[in-house]
Amino acid sequence: MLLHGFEVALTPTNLLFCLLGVLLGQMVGIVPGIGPAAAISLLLPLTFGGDPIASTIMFAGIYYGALYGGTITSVLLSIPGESSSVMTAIDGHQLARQGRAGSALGIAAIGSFIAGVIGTIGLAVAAPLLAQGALAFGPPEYFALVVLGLTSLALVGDSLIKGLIMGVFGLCLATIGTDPQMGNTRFIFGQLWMLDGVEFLVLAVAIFGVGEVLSSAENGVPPAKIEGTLRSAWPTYADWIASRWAILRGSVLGFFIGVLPGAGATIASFLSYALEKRVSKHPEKFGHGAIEAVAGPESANNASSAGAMVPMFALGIPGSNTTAIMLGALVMFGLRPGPQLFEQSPDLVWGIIASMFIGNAILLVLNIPLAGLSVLLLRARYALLYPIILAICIAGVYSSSNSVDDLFLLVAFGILGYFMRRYDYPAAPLVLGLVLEPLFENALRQSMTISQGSALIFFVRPISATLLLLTAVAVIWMSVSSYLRARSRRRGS
Amino acid sequence: MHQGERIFAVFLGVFGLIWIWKSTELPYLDYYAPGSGFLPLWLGVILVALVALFLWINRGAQTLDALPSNPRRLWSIAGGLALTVALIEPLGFSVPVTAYLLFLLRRVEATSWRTSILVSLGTSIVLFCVFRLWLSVPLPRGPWGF
Repeated sequence: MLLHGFEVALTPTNLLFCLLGVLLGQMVGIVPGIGPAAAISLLLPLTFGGDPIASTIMFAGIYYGALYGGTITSVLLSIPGESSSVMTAIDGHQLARQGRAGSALGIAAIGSFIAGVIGTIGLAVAAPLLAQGALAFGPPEYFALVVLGLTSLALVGDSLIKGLIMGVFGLCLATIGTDPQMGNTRFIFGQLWMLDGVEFLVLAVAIFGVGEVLSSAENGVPPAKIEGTLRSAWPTYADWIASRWAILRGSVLGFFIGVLPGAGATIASFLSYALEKRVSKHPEKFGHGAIEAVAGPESANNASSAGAMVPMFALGIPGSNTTAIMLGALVMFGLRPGPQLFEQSPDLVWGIIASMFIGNAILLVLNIPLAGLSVLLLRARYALLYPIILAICIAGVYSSSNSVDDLFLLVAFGILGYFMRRYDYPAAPLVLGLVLEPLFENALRQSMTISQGSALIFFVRPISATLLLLTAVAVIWMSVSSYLRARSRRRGS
Repeated sequence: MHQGERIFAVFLGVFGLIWIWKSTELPYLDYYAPGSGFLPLWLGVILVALVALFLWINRGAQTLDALPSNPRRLWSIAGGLALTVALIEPLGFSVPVTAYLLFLLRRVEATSWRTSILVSLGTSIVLFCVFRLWLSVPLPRGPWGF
């Protein structure tokens, strides 16, 4: 069946649409404020009456192309355009400041390619089976998954308590706006523009982009010129050795997380980061430019895009905003996504799956040379670069909501980001708390409705109980080990 | 713990207290299920508890002051950003952003007039072309039409 898919995907029209999709996706990922879901929505009317296979191949290309595009701004400018690139911004930008942006981007491209291939193989081999497994994840399991995810992210920082504070603070910020279930307004303090709440992009760009610039500005001398040579633009053999298992682990983890509807690339990338730090022999390098901290999350977020196709094709359930719009496109083309799609439209399903192999290869070919080109950008003096970064932050945030009010939030959160850096509060739990709160709160409320108000539901279902047990063990283990470390330090001194 | 860090932690704790206070104005339960105020209330309680624990753990600890600071540069950038944002609605996108970049490059970073003008104008024009012309984002226009 897959061979037949390659026959479909390799026709000149479909190849052209695949290339177009990947290119568009990459551009969309680079520009903050325009996500793949928006890009597909804008293009949807243009595909009316067109070939459904070619159009869907293009949409899939936009989807995984955008995931890689977000990597470029994360590494070079510390501006994650997508929530799935937040983890990349942490170590990727540190590598860039050490003159190793090319290594980070190159490893990300290679990792994304390998992950895309692994994810696509998983999609081709196990889609119907996995889709059934994903149905075992109900609201209590999602609740427990978010608890585990946020806690593991807090655990990987230098201070557990600061990580937890930031995670809870992020969850608090996400409750601003309209309650999605009851329609009440919460914490808007009479300001109608706050009804939509705090957007991810505003917070991420402020904390990572503006906060980084302010933090650098406070130091007497800014990070000045980032030294980069053409030799340092490519990943070295040592980079590959350090990253290969991270890529493999990230790919497998990302694919399985991607299969869960609603979980997606964000959870995949930060669980991969947490996993890599846990298994690393040099966890102290994380946050200061560890190449495997780029390789793992990048592979995970790319593999998750293939995983997200599993419930879409096999069950007709969208796994993310982007796949929801793609699902709408399939319906618009007169197709009915679900278990019958594999039998009724094999050309479409296998054609798209095969095109994902090709699209990932195109991304690799495009991005390895681009990794070299990035050196040119980083040769600019930081004094010239940071005003441009700030201008991009303003334009990107405005474009996401067309609201000047969000720009005031950009300033406020930028100053918050500066103080967080000054006092070593980790940014990732804050941003991811904001992103995951809707899933977290909905899962909590749905679970409690199912159980008629009993919290026991989280402990009697095997998957959620296991996830919560893992969370408890991780927190206790981390607390005890940090207490013992502190005690031995005190005795030593 | 540095004094500033203590103040920052207290700020987060006060934020948690505000969340507790305001969430009591929202319904706690909706029949069996948690209402709009349930999660914010508990998040506020957890945040305050974590901040209190953090302050208690670090009550005697003293760390060195942060890196040598350059408050003038910092507040020039932050204040300029706030002023630019405030001027975008009445004056449009391009003029305040160009002026801000010119201020940063010429005044804060002391680069040459030629470089400052080239970079600030070039950046504004590229951003205008990408967002306004290519992506059709309706960037605010000033009285002069751009």
